[in-house]
Amino acid sequence: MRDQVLAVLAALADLPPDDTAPLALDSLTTVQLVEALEARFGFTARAHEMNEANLGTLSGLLAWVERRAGTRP
Amino acid sequence: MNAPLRLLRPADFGRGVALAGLGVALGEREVTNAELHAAGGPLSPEEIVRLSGIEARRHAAPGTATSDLATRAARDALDAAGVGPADIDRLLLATVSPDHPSPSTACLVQHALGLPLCPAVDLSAACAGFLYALDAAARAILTGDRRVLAVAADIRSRYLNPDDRATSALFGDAAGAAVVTEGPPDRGLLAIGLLADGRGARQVYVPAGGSREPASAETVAARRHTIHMEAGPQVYLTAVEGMLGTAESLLKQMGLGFDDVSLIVPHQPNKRILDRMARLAGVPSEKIFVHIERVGNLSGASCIVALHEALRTRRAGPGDRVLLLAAGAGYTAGAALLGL
Repeated sequence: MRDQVLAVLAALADLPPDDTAPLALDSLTTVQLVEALEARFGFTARAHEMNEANLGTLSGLLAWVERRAGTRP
Repeated sequence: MNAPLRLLRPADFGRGVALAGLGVALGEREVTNAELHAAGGPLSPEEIVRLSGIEARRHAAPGTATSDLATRAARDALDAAGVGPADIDRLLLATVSPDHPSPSTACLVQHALGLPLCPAVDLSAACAGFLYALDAAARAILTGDRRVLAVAADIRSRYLNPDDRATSALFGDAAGAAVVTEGPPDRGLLAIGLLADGRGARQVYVPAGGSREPASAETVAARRHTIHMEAGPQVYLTAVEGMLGTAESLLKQMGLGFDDVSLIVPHQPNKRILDRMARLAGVPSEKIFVHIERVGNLSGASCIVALHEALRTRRAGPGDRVLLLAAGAGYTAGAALLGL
């Protein structure tokens, strides 16, 4: 799963230097990233999930996708 | 922003509410993506289309203010309804871009139209503005008014930061109006429901120029008089959830489903939001009326302008059920079911 998430992210932005560095994506890129992850991993993101914890760093992003993968609400 | 709506259903009162005539006024100038980019905008024309579906938007000409667009739309609505200014009992004008912070833009329009000395008031509900005006108009009809002008008008182009990737290319200017009257109980406005969720109040807002942060040279220099969208992804998903949630709540209470609706006419913030809504609702994209590509996000006027265009192009007609949806800054949201 990590490689797949990185592949989705790399198609949209430069990869961060490590898992804890800020992703620092603008809102337009973040929306594209979220929709691409939804399509790849089969889930529907919710508005309340759009926060720093899930989208601020690569480790947060990976944890979020792992929790949500395959879980359509 | 997910809560059951409390519906207003005119039939519960043994009455009906009709939209007797509609009118629209778009901003005079078409502004293409290429023009925005040439002026230094941060997105390429192709990026704008890919990220929003917008190819061009309509901006008000210099010297045109919100009351001007509102007056033009209202005159057209009066003509379409076959009534004159003297027949109007109340004017409700939804806007988040008034001519001045005070007085109301409704007073300016009341005077410009030559209405009687009837009540005239502004409502502020951002992109849900027209539905808020329609709800209040319906309540006025049900409590004794004969004809009410429900208007939504916004010139958001004057609140944009041209360097902001998230907002600079989205907004267009327009006004839409409806003459609301009593009508047959099985047609017209069948049900309407609204909600607000102030937890999202500062997710998309204009920070300065009000009592919280009065205008100053510093606020203008910092562009705090322009639209700030602090959490774009949250706003994006909230718009979808707000419109879908209100739609599902209204339809469930009316004993209907999306299959019973001929056409969905939503507020048009961004085409990707409308595509997402169609996908999550499980409806074919053709069931959702989309015209954002030529006009942009028209804010409070978005719904009524889209309805007018849907009727003009015969996407909906007699016998059809049309579902109006909106979600906006505040957050605000609403849904209205029309029987044509």
